[in-house]
Amino acid sequence: MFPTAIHFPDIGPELFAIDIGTFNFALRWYALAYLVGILIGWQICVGAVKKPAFWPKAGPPLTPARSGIYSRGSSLV
Amino acid sequence: MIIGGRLGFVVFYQPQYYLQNPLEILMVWQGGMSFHGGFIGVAVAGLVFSMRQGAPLLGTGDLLGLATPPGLLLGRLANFTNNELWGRPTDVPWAVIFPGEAAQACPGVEGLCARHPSQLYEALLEGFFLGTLLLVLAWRRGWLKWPGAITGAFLVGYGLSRAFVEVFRQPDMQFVSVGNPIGHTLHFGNWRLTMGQTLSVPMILLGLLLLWLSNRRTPVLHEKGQVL
Repeated sequence: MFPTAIHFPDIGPELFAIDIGTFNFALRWYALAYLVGILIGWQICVGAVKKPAFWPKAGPPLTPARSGIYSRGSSLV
Repeated sequence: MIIGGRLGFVVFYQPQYYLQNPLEILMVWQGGMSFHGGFIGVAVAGLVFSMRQGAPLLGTGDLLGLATPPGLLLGRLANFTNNELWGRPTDVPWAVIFPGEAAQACPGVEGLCARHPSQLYEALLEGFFLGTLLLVLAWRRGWLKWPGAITGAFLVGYGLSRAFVEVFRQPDMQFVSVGNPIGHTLHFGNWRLTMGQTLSVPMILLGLLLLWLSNRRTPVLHEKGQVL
């Protein structure tokens, strides 16, 4: 019925699983996607905030710092 | 993001089940997250963050909008490798034969059942294309000078992409019944919407409102230091 269909590449949900005593730890693709997605998103924010020319004259909503970004108003809190 | 995503799945997709088994709400490892729930969770967290830190709300939203598509791209690829959230049965040349009883249960199909790899459509549209578009708008077109414009573009872009791909995606089993083989959630005459489309409508409307508002105001207004 489906002469040209593609077979599913059965990669499985886990990259690896290890047993620590009775505890089983598995790294799943879905969890890795969240982690790497957040890291890339973070780097995009850092890149945008570092460019004053992108923003209104008042500047970016958050200020760049060496270790990432923190709020312009954080020193007031 | 995780709390919102989980609660969104519970409320929008499986309310009766979790009302009867409330402790299973905590069992996140059994699967079940919702993008629209995660979005609401991030929006609430962003609101609280920007209010507490005194950061402009719309500018913070613009950063979150820029940051989101890479995660969507990777998350949808993971949906594919997890053999979950596949599409409706089809005979397009790029149809994929997903394994398992649920994926192979296609009414009226004998032999192997192939489906749309709709997770990959979503990865391309809400991840790659939307992400590239927002980066171009921010880096080349100066849209960050108009607070709220990138947020609006993200909301409209995500809502349209998702609503379009839902045409090819198989809604969750609990929405399917004998009289409703596809699993639509809302009916307006001839218009039938899935849950994913229903939840995308308010996103698109809010995005259009933000695009309109940000386009109306000049960047000068923003310099007077108002919160929005």
